[in-house]
Amino acid sequence: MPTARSEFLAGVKALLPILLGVIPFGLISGIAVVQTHIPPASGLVMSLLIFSGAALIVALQLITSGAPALVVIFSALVINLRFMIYSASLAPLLKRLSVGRKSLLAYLLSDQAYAASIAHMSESSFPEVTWLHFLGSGLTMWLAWQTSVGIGMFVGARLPASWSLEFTIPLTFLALAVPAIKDRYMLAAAVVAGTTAVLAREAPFNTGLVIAALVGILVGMLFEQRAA
Amino acid sequence: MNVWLIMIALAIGTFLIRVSFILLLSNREVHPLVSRALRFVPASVLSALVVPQILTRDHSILISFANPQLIAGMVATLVAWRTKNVLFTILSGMVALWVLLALVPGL
Repeated sequence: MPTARSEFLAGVKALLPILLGVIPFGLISGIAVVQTHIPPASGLVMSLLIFSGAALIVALQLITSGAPALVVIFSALVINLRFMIYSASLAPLLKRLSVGRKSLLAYLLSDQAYAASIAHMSESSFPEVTWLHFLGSGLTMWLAWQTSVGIGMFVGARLPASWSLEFTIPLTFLALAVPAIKDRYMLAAAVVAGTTAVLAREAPFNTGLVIAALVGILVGMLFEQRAA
Repeated sequence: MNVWLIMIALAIGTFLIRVSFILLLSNREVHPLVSRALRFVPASVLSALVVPQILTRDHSILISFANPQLIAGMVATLVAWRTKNVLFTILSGMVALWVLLALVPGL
């Protein structure tokens, strides 16, 4: 039977290879955050609070462009809706844990930790220790992410404006968007959402992002329904 | 509203999304319609973020090859599609933009 220690270390180990992608991505996200003129120390506190690079960058961009608070909050939360899929998938595996442990693991939930641990946890026959695998991968991801975002912010604040580094923001999202398109229905959703976002960019109160995302989701679902 | 209040609301909201099924709805099944909709969230949201930002040059939309970001964005899309690598995608887009800005005067 695996011990608590061996499960935790196995989780850490499962995440280590992913760090090769996480650390440069964290550095660039940190640079992107300070492009919105947020001081690095404030950005770091925000990153610790939210632990979601995409949501933080979008929120700061919308705040800079003068969007109302509710639109900022709603837009950033729409981006994080994907965590609900992970949450639903982890729920049966974490059922017997205390509220405190469940809350800690929920805070540590990320795309990377989920990917590193879900297969191991689903196949494990030792539910009393298997959550430590997720704790190991989740803490490793958290530490690597916050450190690299923090370094990126302090470095980014010193880089010259002539480098056009603000362009790293759309490129960061592009790098996530393309692999997220896994079939033609998702491609349809992405094309429609992108086009709608351009058409709706003058929508009142900067609601264009939310409108475009909802239209994309709806079109994807309808397209899939018709094909079935 | 204060930026920090927005950030605190975001921290709470993001935590509630993460904790949703793990803690609050642990005995509930996900409605099939909800899980079908959630499947389309990443592709739709990310695309809605990317496209206008790539096309915006000097605060207005420019759909033309005179917009270096459009070409750099196309290069990065191709690299993202072929490699699925975050770092290569960002680097290729930035290098393409720098090359265009350096080579073509007036962009």
